[in-house]
Amino acid sequence: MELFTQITWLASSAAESKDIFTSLGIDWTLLAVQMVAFLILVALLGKYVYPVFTKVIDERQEQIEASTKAAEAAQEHAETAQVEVEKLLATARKEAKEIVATAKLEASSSLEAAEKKATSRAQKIVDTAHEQIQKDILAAKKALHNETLELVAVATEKIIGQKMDAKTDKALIETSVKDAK
Amino acid sequence: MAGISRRKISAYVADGLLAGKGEVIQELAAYLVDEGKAKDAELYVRSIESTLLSRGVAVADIITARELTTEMQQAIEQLIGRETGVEKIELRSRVEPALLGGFRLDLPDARLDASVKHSLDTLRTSKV
Repeated sequence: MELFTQITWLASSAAESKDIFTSLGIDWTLLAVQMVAFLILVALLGKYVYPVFTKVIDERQEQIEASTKAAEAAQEHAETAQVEVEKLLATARKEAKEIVATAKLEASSSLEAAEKKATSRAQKIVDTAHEQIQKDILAAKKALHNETLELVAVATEKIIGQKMDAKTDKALIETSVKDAK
Repeated sequence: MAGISRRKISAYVADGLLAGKGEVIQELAAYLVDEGKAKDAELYVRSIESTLLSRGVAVADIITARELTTEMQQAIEQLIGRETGVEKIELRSRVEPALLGGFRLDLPDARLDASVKHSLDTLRTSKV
C-alpha cells in the first residue's frame, strides 16, 4: 500500500511537469499503473511460475547431468571393454599363429614320415624282386645242372654200352676189386 | 613147426645144409606153404644165409654184365674171404647186361656195387 501511495504521489507530482512529458507522449498515470502491473506480474511469476519452471529446469538439468554421467560411464566401460577385447584378440591371434605353426610342423612331419614309408616300401619291393630273381636264377641253375647230369648219364650209358668190351670190363672189375681192399 | 620163429627155422636149415642134409630145403618149402608164408621165402633165405655166415659160410651173389672168368671169380672169393673172415664161400654168379660193366656183390648183410650202372645211377641221384 505504501508503494501504491508513493506511486500515486509521483503521479500527482508529475502532473505538474506534464508539459515536457506530455509533449513526449508519456502518461505518468498509465506508466505507473503499468509498472505496478508489471511488478505484480513479476511477483506472481516469481512466486508461482518461476519456481515451477526453475524446478522443472533443474530437474531437467539433473536428468541431463545424470544422462551425461551415465554416458560417460558407458563410454568408460566401452573403452575398458574395447581394451579387453583387444587383449583377447591379441591372445587369440597369438594362439592362432601357434596353432598354424604347429599344424605346419605336423604336416611337414607327416609328409616326411609318408615319404620315408613310401621309400621303405619301394626298397622292400625292390629287395623282394631281387630275392625272387636270385631264387629264379638258382632254380634255373639247379634245373640246368640236373638236366646236364641226366644228359651225361644217358650219353655215358649209350657210349659205354657201345664201347664196353670184355677186356675193358675185366679191367674194370679188377680195379674195383683192388679198390675194395 | 607151427609158430616157430624165423631165426630158429633159419638156424635149423643152416645146420642141416652144413651137415649135408639137402632135404631141409624141402622141409622149409613145405612149412612155408603149409603156414601160408610163401611170400616170406625171400626173408627166410636171407636169414638162412646170415646164419650160415655166422657159422663161417658165406653165400654171395655176384652179378656181372658178362660171364665171369674163373680168374675173376677167384679174385672175388678172395675179396669176400678177406672182408668176412670166412673160409667157405658159395658164389652164385648171374649175368645182367644192364649193369654195362663192373660187378655187384651181394652178401647176406652187405652189398658192394661196383657196376657202371650204379655209377650212372649215383650220378643221376646227385641232382640238386
